[in-house]
Amino acid sequence: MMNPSAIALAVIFAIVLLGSAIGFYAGTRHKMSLEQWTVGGRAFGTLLMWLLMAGEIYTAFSFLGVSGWAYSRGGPALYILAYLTLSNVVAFFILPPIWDLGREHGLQTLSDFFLMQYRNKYLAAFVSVVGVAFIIPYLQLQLTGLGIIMEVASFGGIGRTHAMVIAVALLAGFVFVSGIRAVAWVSVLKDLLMVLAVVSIGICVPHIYFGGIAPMFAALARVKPAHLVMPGATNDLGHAWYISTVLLTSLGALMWPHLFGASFTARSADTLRRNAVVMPLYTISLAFIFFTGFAAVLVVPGLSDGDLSLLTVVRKAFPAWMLGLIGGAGALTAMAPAAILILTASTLFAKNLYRPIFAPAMTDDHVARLARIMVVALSLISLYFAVYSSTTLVSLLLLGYAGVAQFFPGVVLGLFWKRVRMVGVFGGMMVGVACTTFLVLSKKDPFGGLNAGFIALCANFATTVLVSMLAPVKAGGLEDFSASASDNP
Amino acid sequence: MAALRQPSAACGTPTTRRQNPIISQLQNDVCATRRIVSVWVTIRTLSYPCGDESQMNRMGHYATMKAALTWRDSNAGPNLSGGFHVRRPSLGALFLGLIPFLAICFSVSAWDRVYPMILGLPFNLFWLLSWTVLTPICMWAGYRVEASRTSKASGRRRSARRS
Repeated sequence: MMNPSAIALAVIFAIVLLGSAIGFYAGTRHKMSLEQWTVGGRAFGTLLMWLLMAGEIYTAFSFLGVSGWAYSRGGPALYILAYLTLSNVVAFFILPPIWDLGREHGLQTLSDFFLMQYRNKYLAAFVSVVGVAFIIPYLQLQLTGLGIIMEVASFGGIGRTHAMVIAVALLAGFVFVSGIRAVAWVSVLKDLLMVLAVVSIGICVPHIYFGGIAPMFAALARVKPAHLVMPGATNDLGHAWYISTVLLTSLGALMWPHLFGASFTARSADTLRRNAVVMPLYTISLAFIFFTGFAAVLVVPGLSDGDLSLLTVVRKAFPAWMLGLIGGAGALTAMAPAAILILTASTLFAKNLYRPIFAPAMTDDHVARLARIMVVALSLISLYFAVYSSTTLVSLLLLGYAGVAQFFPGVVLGLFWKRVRMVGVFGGMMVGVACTTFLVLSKKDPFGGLNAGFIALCANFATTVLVSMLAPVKAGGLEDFSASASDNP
Repeated sequence: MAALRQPSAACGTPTTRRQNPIISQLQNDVCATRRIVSVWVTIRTLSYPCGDESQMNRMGHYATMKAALTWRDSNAGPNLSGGFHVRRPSLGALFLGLIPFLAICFSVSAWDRVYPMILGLPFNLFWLLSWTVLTPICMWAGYRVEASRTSKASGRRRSARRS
């Protein structure tokens, strides 16, 4: 009989290779201009769009991180269900107008948007720097997830580091060749597999060990009733933390440069609106991951790393080929988003940071080439972080959210508030990013029971509004505002 | 007919705040009947999602309609930094979007409990999951509100082009 780890690994590799093959195939059918590579020629319909957005929101984090937090923290993990639902409500209101402006002005990235709204290349470059900087923890999350999958599936045979190196090579390869279309089509396979895997483990695991989901929760409520409500197994993640975190993450979710960029791939603003209406339904699949995480509390107690809980339970409950199938689905769930993160970060760097500041004469072809070089560089940087730092997947995600949410005031006030000024947005964003960096690096998160990123976001909002109100209006500005400007000469 | 008062520092009016154009228009109409007609024209103008100058000439009361349209479009056009503004979403849709926020974010201490268990799920988990279904219903209603607004606007534009 074959060794179970060999079977599991063979299945995982087969699935990953199939996914990459689809990616390469999708990429080779179109001629790759910069616009094709980054926004797919702006022609994705509702279905492909839905898959792409789902591919970006449901990542290694939702696969391993959610069960990890349900296992190690308990109740506070519920914030994830709330924010994924609410971020779509926010999307419903802000993505369609952003798409309209994007089509009119040929926008491809978040920085393009800031450049169009505020006419300042340094602000746009700053947005790129912050965007790239906070994409790296998210990328690191995906790579760590891949490492965990290999580690568990090989029963510790392949180290996390080796697994991550292999994954990075494959990933950089297909992003390099095929751009965003590859990601959209890999997402198709990935979503099918993931829904299948998640539903089957969410139903089977409680059945095998407890005889059903209801008895499982009854048992958990008897043994550890406090684990199911906030603050769960922690002492500082209570209701105030929940509200601040849900607000921060649901507002910040769309400020991820890759999601912002993905919205430009839609065929129409209406596609985005319809998409935002139906997307919360996808969140239901996460319930099954919660079931698995909670079941793991009783089935495999005492794991040092909560993020291992889902796969450890699967390994204990199922035959090796099933572990392989679930591991493979998980691997694609990490790879598709990682690919798009790399793609976005490298485009931001080449198009919005390097070209406007250092080499204004660069052509689009050169930008595309530089972006491809950056794919390799960024992969290596996040690989370095993934290997040399260790923290839970959810903490990495929250760090990223705290950073990118700082774009929110600039985007939303720019769209809907006429008095907003470039200096205000620039100042607010600097205050927000400085606040986040300070609170997180000095390990003061959560701060006073609130999410540190939320505090930074409030400071950012206040600064943006205040500075915009106080900033003098230039002579010869719009006459419409001369009346209000006479208030504060 | 009284000209539309332009709020500007140049004309020397000591306004401390930008005046609502509709209110300035109504203030300009000194006679009571004119004021009533102005209100009526304002309501009629605003009930059309999209209006243009030729329609206004056909209907008369140019200044009143201009004021109403200025007020309605006051958010469109370039902002102080030279960027672009968009029309704000309708209040109805915003209200529908607020419901899920109230239900699953701000009211957390009301539903964060294990009992009563429903369908075998702890109450907080059940509550959040039921809102993943109820939120699309809310937003679908919001979609209808927004869609009727845009289709009215484009239908109006089409008929204007025909005439």
